[in-house]
Amino acid sequence: MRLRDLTCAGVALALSAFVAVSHASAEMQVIESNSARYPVGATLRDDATPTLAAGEQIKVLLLPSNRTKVFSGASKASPGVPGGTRGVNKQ
Amino acid sequence: MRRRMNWWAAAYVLFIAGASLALTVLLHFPHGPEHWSSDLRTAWLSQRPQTQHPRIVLIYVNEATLEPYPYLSPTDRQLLADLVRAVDAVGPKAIGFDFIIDRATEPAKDQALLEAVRTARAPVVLGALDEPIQASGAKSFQAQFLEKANRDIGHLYLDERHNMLVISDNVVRLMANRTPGQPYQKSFAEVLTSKEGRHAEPRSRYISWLLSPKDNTETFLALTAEIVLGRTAARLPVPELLRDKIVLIGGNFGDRDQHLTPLSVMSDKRFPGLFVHAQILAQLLDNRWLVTLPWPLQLLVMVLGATLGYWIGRLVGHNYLIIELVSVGALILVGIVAFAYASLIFPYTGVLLAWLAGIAGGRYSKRVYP
Repeated sequence: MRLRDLTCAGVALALSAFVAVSHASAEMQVIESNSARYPVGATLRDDATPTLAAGEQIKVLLLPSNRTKVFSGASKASPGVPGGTRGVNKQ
Repeated sequence: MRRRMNWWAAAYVLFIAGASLALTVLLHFPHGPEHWSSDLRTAWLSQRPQTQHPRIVLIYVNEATLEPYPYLSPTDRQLLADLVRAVDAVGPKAIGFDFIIDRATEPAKDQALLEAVRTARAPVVLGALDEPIQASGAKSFQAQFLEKANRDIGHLYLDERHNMLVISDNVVRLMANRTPGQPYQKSFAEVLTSKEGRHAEPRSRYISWLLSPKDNTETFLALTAEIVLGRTAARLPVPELLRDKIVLIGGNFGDRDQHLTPLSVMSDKRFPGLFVHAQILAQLLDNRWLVTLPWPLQLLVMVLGATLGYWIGRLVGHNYLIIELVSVGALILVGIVAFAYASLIFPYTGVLLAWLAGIAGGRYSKRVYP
């Protein structure tokens, strides 16, 4: 009976440790930002949804998958970007 | 009874006006082999991967990177040298360098960049433009740099549709044709593909775009130069991010090398040239193609369209306008289905013109030979 209790406790402990570790390691690091709320270097939980004002944008690195993702606030009207100056016409 | 007739007359006039307007929009002079809606189709129905491309990393130099430097253009060569060395140090599969080195700047910095490129352990592919004809016969600075660097070279051109009668819309949809007589016959992406041990001969010039992945990550892992050089507060596992990847280094500046693509439809968003090269590279690595019908087959489809149109033209009475509208809609639908299910670019314009010519011929032949 004691052995069974110990086994159950051990399994529970291992499971909670696994959950804690996997949860702690899944996060996002801000790598580019124009938002004061989320400076470069800040870390967020991977399930966080950043609150961004219009025109604000942050890029994060998802860990541990090492993929990048961009979050943007509502789009802000901006003047058109001038065209490229290279490469589209060989003539 | 009289009141009813007026309603019908008004409805008829409205219908004719609406249909004429629709025809004007739908049947304007063709800009290219496809209907104007083809960009929308490309933007919505191109391949959407599950997640970020696993083989390609982009490193951008942008205005923020160059804040500590006294000038934006040409890009500081010492910075580029440091960047090449930093990337090379972590063991990438290959480095693609999308900067045109066509003018001397500060000699020590120019030399530093040359040494960094020349001595890198990883395969380096340098981007270049066609060589200008020099009246003196002397080699251009670009030619001298490339010769001393002694690395593989790919041209950096992208292409758009050209039509003698209509001005180009400056949208990059195609890979560039090779320029006869120029030393750089293969594109940047093609040469980079060869670093993966593959030879990719393009099956068509259409770029097969990747849409944003389903998991909302970026299409390609993209970092700024200052992150890679450890000049920001972000502390990233840079070696882990770049090791064994094809790393493309290029610029992302608001005033140059920004391009409209089919993905720009609805938003007018411009994409850096580096992103477009990455799209072509991804297509070559993935062996993913948009194909066109060979000319004999295109001709056959057009002849069939004209023949069927002639037959329909002889059958229909006054429903010519409806036939035209329906046929335009049907051909757009065929184009969408061909793209979505067979990655095929349907020759919309040619078939439509053949079909309409067939209908017109059928109608008038009926009058002459009833």
